[in-house]
Amino acid sequence: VSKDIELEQWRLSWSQMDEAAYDFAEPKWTVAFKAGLAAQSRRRLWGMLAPVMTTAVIGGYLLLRATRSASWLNIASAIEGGLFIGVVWTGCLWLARATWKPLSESTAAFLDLAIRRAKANLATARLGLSLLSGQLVVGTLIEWIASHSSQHIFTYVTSSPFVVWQWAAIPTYVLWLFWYGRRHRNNLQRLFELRRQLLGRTGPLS
Amino acid sequence: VPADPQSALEARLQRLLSANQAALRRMVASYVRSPEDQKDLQQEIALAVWRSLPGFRGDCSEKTFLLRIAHNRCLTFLQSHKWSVSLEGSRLDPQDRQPHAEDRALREEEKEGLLQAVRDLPLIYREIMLLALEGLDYREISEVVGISESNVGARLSRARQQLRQVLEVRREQRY
Repeated sequence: VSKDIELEQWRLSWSQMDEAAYDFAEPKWTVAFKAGLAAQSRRRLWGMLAPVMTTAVIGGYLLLRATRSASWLNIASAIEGGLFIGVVWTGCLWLARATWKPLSESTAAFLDLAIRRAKANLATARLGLSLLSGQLVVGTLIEWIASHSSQHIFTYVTSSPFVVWQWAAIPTYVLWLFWYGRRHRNNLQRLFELRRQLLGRTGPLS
Repeated sequence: VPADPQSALEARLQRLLSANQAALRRMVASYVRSPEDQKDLQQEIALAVWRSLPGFRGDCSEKTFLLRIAHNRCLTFLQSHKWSVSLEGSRLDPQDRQPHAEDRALREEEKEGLLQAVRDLPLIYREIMLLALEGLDYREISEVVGISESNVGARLSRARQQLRQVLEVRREQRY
């Protein structure tokens, strides 16, 4: 066997060796990553039902109460409730911009989308704390002015179990926010690291 | 046709990897035996190619470009694992249980014998031999490994000699 024929024979055996090759076409993690984000998109759409229903129920109730009995308290509550709902929706939609779908079908675009969503989730949770606190302050003031103005404001907020329970919601929310923020910050770090490994990019999103 | 540069890049990457997946698989199997390590290494190669592809200006063939990256990743992988790659699960494919399984098993054994023999070569010969087996010429091998063409020729000659000896020993052991 001449040397070249020998090498050709080896090459032939070598080339036939692996017919069931591992699929290099697209790394499996990118397929799973994209599928996970697509599922998250579907959940986000379904998740819109809850705020829509809440808006309809609370807004509808306040509006109905104000039209049936046009007292100062009911009208003020309806206006305040309407404004609150408007601020919540404006804030949430503003923060959710560019988080609905990737800008292209590339893995990098999906990765950017995941980072945008994680950032938006963190910002939404922080906005929630401001809105909850604001709503409690304004709602309590309206309730106090309308029905309990004879009492000192401090006496009112500490005497009514309902109001006390409302205020107790804030530390609970802060605790939840701490847990939620930590989880999403870890997720964000993981995504940044993934992007650095994948694209060598650490700067702002494209 | 992908509209944005990133999608175009990914399409190019997938085409490149798909066209050469068998060669990459063989190269990885030549360096790493455990299927788990092989999968990790394959993923690392895919990522490395992804990162390097935008800088590829066509100064060599795509296959050479790909194998150069794969070769570097394989060596880095070996270094990072301190050469302690697992000896378990060294078969490329499970045993065939179909009709004519014995004939096919014998052919598979011969092919796998070649893989085992390549694996047994010292690293400086192994890297040259497996690139030669993939059909690269001296110039392309020198581009991948980063040595002169005359050095490639000398190493390949010794690699062939050693491979022949190893295969003969294996053949004798079998019969």
